[in-house]
Amino acid sequence: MKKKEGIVGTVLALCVLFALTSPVLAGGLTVYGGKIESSVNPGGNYSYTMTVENTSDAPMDIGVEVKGYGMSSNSDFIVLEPEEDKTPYTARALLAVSPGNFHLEPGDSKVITVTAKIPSGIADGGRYAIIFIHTAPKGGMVATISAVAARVLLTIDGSKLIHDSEVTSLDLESSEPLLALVTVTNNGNHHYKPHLRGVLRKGDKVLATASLDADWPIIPGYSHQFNLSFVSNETIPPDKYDVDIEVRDDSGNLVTQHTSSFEVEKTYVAPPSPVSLTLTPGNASVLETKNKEISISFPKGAVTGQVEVSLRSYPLEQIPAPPAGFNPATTCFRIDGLTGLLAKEATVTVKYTAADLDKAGGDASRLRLARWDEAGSQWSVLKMGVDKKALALTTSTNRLSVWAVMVAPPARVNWVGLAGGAAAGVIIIALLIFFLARRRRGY
Amino acid sequence: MKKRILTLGIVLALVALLVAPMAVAADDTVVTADVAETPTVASVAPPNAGVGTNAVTITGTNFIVGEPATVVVSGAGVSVGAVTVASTTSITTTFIIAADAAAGARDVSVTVGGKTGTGTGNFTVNGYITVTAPTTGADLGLMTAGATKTAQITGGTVASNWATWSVSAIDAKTTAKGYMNTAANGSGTSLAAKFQISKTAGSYTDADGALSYTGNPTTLPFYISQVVAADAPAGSYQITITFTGSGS
Repeated sequence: MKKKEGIVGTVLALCVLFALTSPVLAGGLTVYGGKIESSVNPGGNYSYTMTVENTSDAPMDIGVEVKGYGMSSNSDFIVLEPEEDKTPYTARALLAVSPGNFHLEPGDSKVITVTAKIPSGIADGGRYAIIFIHTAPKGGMVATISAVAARVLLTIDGSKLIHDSEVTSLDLESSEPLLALVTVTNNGNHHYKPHLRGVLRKGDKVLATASLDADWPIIPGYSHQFNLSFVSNETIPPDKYDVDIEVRDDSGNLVTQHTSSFEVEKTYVAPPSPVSLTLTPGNASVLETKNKEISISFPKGAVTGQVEVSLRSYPLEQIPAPPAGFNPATTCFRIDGLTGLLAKEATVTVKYTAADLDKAGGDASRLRLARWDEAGSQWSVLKMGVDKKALALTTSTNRLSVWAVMVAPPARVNWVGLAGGAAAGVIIIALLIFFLARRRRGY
Repeated sequence: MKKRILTLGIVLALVALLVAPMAVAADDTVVTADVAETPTVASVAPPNAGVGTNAVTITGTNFIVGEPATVVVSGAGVSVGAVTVASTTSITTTFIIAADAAAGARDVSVTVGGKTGTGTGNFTVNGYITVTAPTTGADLGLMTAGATKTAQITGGTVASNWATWSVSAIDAKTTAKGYMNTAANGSGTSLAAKFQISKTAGSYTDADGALSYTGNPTTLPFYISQVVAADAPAGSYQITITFTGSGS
């Protein structure tokens, strides 16, 4: 009996261990190997595979089609219907997929094969398409489809590859941080991932720089917009400046460059430099920016082992969408070094800036400290104090992550409460007058 | 005398013939034991694999049958199972790829007799992406003429091991694109105003322009809005929004 219990216990423990160590994927339409990037020879035939799996708990009817590959200024890829796919660099006609339709029960998977037949006289450059893998619509009035775009990027081997581009628009925003919206158009015949560098200068003096290495390529015939945030260690006063933008390809070759003038409308104040600190269990420590605008006070025993924590500014445009009704102000920062929870809560103090206050319409009581919680993928707007004399917001936290000063919606006037309060006040005053009158009369 | 000298010479020659190969053999043994050649890693088959346990064969040189060998895959998320040296040019093992292993090229190293050889970028962890379109609450109910109807649809998620991923939400039909229509393919009657979508409550965009999700959040927050004109004809209207994900 004891032996049986032991075996059952061991099996259960193994099951738990298996469950804990097995890969955990969100349930849905999963595609493995969903990108084909390959060199192909004219006259050659090629075969590629990818695996489609139903990781949801409901059956799926799957469709697989070859579509056009497009882009837009704010989309890294667009799935194009045949009539929309007009570029000479389309690979749609070169590709075939099998099977085109199939059914998957929960947990089942299917290997799909993509074949490419390259004509012998094909012109130079790259050829592009999307293998569009999708479920059937789910829902009624507003139905949704889960889909994966497996991008196909073929390079014709031995052909002349041209990475010719131009900056087709450059909009500059005098915000914090200073922002350049750069649209790059690929006029060449081959895709590349652009590497952008920006310089803000007055004459020969460089005041701020910006850089961005794109994760997604620009395909020939399409444009994409990039947001370049300029970083400077010095204050930039209002004036007219020149901005140089340089775009290079993956090999570092200069693809295009562009210069434009830019007017800084209000004084730009440099963000705080990153700072770091080693926390130990036996000591209290304060991590703060050099200008003391942001400080995190860790009490003794906040950590159970030695941990290095760091504090740096964080680009506001990269934060996730704010909670409903809230808007980000301007102060945003990130505290790194600890993925779990602190053993004792730290105190976070943020001195709000004039720009934060402007965003709140001059009402400091509308400012809030919000923390992004990775695990729950949501913002937590924290209970905090506002010190209007010290211009500071203070809260406590048991975790680090990305932080932002947010602006709460304007408080609504509670007319019922207001009327009740006024009535109570009138009654109290009337009672006071009544008792004072009685005392005077000698009652 | 001459006969004796001749006999001695023959004996010495025989001894020399016998001893010399033994000395060479002894030298060979010493060389082999002390100085194992550095292994090389030429290729891995298959050259790429996805999440889970994958049997692989490593081809190279200077592997030693009977000698223990260790195999290491660079980067986090790929562990290596039991290693078998099948021949001096072939090792079989398993690569166990975790769900959070980043997609991309990895280096594979083989250590034999304390010497390590590395094949640069000769194994690739396949990228994966899981897209679950939001479906819960996907109903605007009864729409009143002259009013705006809004709703939130929940349950959308994305998971991926690509360096970056992007999900776009759009009305993908080609006829009456962006409009609620009495027919699923857009061939019926459309409402006058475009159907609108958003990642937050408010700041809606038309459903024929892509709404993009990218970065860290693993949920796909989704809000919908439809303005119904005062003279909108009565009918049952519908629209399908496609959530398409891709890895970089």
